[in-house]
This record gives sequence, C-alpha cells and structure tokens, in this order.
Amino acid sequence: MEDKNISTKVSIAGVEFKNPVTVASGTFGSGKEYSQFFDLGILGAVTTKGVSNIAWKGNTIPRIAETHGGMLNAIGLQNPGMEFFMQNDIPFLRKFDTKIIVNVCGKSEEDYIEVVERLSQEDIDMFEINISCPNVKEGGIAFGQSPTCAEHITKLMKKYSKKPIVMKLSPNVTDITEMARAVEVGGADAISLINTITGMQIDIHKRKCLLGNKTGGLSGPAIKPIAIRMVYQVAKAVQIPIIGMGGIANTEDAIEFILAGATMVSVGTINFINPYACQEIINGVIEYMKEYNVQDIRELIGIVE
Amino acid sequence: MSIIKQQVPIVEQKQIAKDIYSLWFECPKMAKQVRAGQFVNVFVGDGAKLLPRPISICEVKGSKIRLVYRVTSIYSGTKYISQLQKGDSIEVMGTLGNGFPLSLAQMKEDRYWNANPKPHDTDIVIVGGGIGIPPLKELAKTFQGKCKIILGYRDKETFLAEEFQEITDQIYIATDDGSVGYHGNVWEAMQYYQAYASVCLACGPNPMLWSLKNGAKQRGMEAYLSVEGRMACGIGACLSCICDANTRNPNLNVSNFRICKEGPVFKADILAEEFLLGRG
Repeated sequence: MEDKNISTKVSIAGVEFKNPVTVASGTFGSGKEYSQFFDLGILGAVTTKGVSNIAWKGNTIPRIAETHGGMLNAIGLQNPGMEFFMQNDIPFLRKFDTKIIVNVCGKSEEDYIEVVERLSQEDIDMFEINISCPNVKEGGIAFGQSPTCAEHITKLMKKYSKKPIVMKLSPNVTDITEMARAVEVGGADAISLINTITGMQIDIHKRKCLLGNKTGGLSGPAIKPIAIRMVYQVAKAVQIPIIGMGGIANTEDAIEFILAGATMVSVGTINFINPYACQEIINGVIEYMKEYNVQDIRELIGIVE
Repeated sequence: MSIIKQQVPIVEQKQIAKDIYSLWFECPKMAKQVRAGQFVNVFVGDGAKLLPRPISICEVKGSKIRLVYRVTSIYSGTKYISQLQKGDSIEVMGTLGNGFPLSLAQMKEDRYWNANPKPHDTDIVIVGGGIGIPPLKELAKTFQGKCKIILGYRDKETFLAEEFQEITDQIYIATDDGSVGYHGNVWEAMQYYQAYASVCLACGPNPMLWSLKNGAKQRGMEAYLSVEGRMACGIGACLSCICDANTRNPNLNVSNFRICKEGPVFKADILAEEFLLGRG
C-alpha cells in the first residue's frame, strides 16, 4: 500500500512512526499471537501489554464479561515480569520493522522507577506509563485520579527514563483536561487516552458479581463517543501529542480520533474479534487520504473546531 | 496448521435435546486440520454481541464440521446461532487449541506436563459430562471405538448417546436422576462398571473433572482433562481464559495456563484445586 504521494508518517518526541496506527496495551500481548495473521512490520508501533518489575499472576477468574457493544475486563495486568519480557519479547519484536512502545505498570513509585530504569537500557523506543488501570488496587489508578499524584509520577518517570514518556490517562475522573495539564507540566512527552471505564455486571443466576474482581474496565465500540470527546478536550488543553484510543473498530473510527486531535491511534478490543483489524485500518487510512486528496496525515490532526 | 477465519455455509441445523443444537457447516480447509478436542470461534455478527463464541468441534466428515452446543439464554449469542438454517452462513475462526493427545508419541512429547504415560493404544477410557460430551465423539472416532466410554447426563435427555453406541459397545451411561443407566456421577459409574484403563480422556464440568482427577490418581490412571473458560480472543492474547495450575507456565512465567492456547486439554496433575473447585 506504499504510495509515494502520500505520507502517513507521524512523530512523537523525535521518534518517527511509519503510520499513526498502534495497538492498545493488553489487547495484543507482545504481538506473537497476531504475527500469525499479518506482518507486524506494517504497524506504526506495537504497544506491549503492561510490564512490571516482577511477574504478576493477575486476578481471579472470571476475568471478562461481554456487554452491549463492548466488554468488561479485569485481567489484573498479568505479565511475566521485566526480565522475562526483555529476554523474550524485545528480541521477538525487533525482528519486525516497527517501533516498540513498552507499557509500564507498578504498585508503587519504586516499581515504576525500577522498570523504567532497567528497560531504558534496552532496545525499545518509548514508554507508556499506565497510571490508569482500574483493576489493580494497590497502585495503577491511584496515581491516575489526582492531578498532583499524576504530575509527581510523571516527573519521576522523566527523571529515570532515557526514553520518551507517554502518560496513559484514565477516563474515570471529573475533568480529563486537568489530568492532561498535570502530566504536561510534569514533563510528559505525550498523552495516551482513554483507558477503560470502570463498570460492573451481575450474574442474576448466582446473584453475585460476574467478574472475580467485581468491577472491570469497559472497552469496545460502546465507549468510543466518550473517548472522542476526551481526546478532543485534551487536544484543546495541551500542546503535547496524543495517542487516542477507546473503541476503535474500523478506519472511520481511527480517522475520527485523528480529526479530534490524536497524532496516533491505538486499536484495542477489536483485535480480539478481528485479528486483521489493524491491517484493515492501516490500509483504510491510506484509502481515505486518497479519497480526500490528503498528502500528509498530519494535515488531519485535530482540525475539528 | 494455520488459523482460518471466514464466512461458511451452514449445511444442517437441528435441535437434538432441550437447549442442545447440532450444526454442520462446510469448510474444507478447516476440516482437514481438525484434531479431536479442538474448538472454533463462532461470530454472532452482531455489533452488540462482539465476542466470538468458542464451541468445541463434535466431529468432522469430509469437508464438513459439526458443532453441538447449548443455548445458554434467550438473549444469548448461541440463541442467535441456533436460529440459523441450512443455506445461511456464519463466520467462524479455527481451528483453535491443541486437542487431546492422540498417541503415545504425542504424550511423551514434553509439552507442559512432562507426561510419562504407559502404552495405551487399546487401553483408554473416555469420559464425558453434559455439554462436555460433544467433543468426545471425534475422539472416540479417532480411536475407532477401541476404547471404553462413560457418559454422564442430568436426566433422560441423553443426546448423542446413540451415536456413541454406534462407535463402540463398551459404553456406560450415568444420570444424575437415575432415569437412564447408572444412578450417579461418572466416577461412581466407572467404579461400578470397573471401566478403568491406563489412560482417561475427559471433558465436562469442573466438579466432574475434579472427581476424575482424584479417582485417576488413586487408580494410577493417566488423565487428560479438557476444560472451558470465558474467552475473548481464543488465540492466547487476552489472558482471560486462564486456569490456575500447580506448575509454572514457561510461556507466561506464572503458574497459570491459557485454556485457549496451551489447552483446552491439560494433564490432570497440573490443574489446580482452586480452578476445578471454582475458587480460582
């Protein structure tokens, strides 16, 4: 789908991506499972599942529930830990011509620092800091719901990281722009949003919460209008680039996010339903650009008044 | 083997018991690679019901694949699937999962369970309970009926039992209410009929698998259990359908396994009590 007259390149903090499409953390593992469906090299970047300092076993089952036009998940950031990740996932991803954004999770400031310091020495391109997971009690979202805490953790990440930092924001706040400004002040290179929206489902036969964790994060097409609204608001409130996500299921959704103000977009839940979704969206973006005679994708970013 | 995702024609749909349906679809490429115990993802094709329904493969005939499944509620995706008729089409993805180990060689192969099986070419007992029974038909066919079969049902709705009887006469039925065959569960029936073997291959509800796991251990039987879980992707990416294990999973570096990817069949020893007793 290369077209000499069309440029889909975007850049964030000096890192250049061949196109604006990446994947939402946790929906794509480290790409292994999806590499049997398409060449990961077509992606602008692979955003990995959250990596912590040591292995996390995650939450008790059931971990997911289907909802109208979406799903609730409470996986609990299960991951093999950073040492395992470095030995296995980075070498695997480096076989493909794509950028690596490592999502980082932790339960304390020290956890986050340990991962960022250690992985800064590795061959990766960028960090996405998850301060917005609704399913991990000890930390995660605790940093993501107070502007003061978010600014503080951003500063720490900038201090210890040798790679650009993207702060991933939670929609479970009163004013998303306040959080966005806080991480901008803290020195974030970019912002990604939205993480999932906290929800619940009850099993009427067992008369108890369906998810083992009781609450979970809502994702999928059902949340897209909320995500679009928040990306739009944040784009108007800060100068740093945005990676937009929340319910992207096709090319039209991806374009909508870019018009709302996203420099890049992350394809998430739909990967579970259509493993070819990213490929279809990347091709579709080029078709859209041809149709509207857009030569550079950057012309589209945030142009909606 | 590759994973195929495509729209396929339905060639037959029939209700065979209360809430239980039998669906045949045509997909030559997929049919060729089916191993007993594998499953397919069935897509409802409705924006409201996004996630695929993982359904085990009951059997294969030529280019046709059969699914026997339960409709879980009137609002469910399976209800929608059950209303499709011959001539309609549906999107499926498969084949998924590993299926049952079918040969001694395969069992010796160190997968995750360090199997140390005894020769069993004609010394197998297949045990199924409820909606866990369908995938065992292809398994029984694979062994050309050279196996004992124990099937457990709730009541007299003994779907597929007659079809199993065509495969082997070494078949035993147990029902919870005693309306057909042995009055009790499959493990009790196995003891009653002395239907033991060196290898036990089973699929059914977790409490049944738990009693089989313990029973097999007592009797020195090698047991392989097919389990189910709530899945999203079906390919190992989402980590929804995990089962707690007694051993570290070398792929994930923690002590649980992905039912869709490393399973759905596991050596009984590795499945944790918390998982089989529903506390996991």
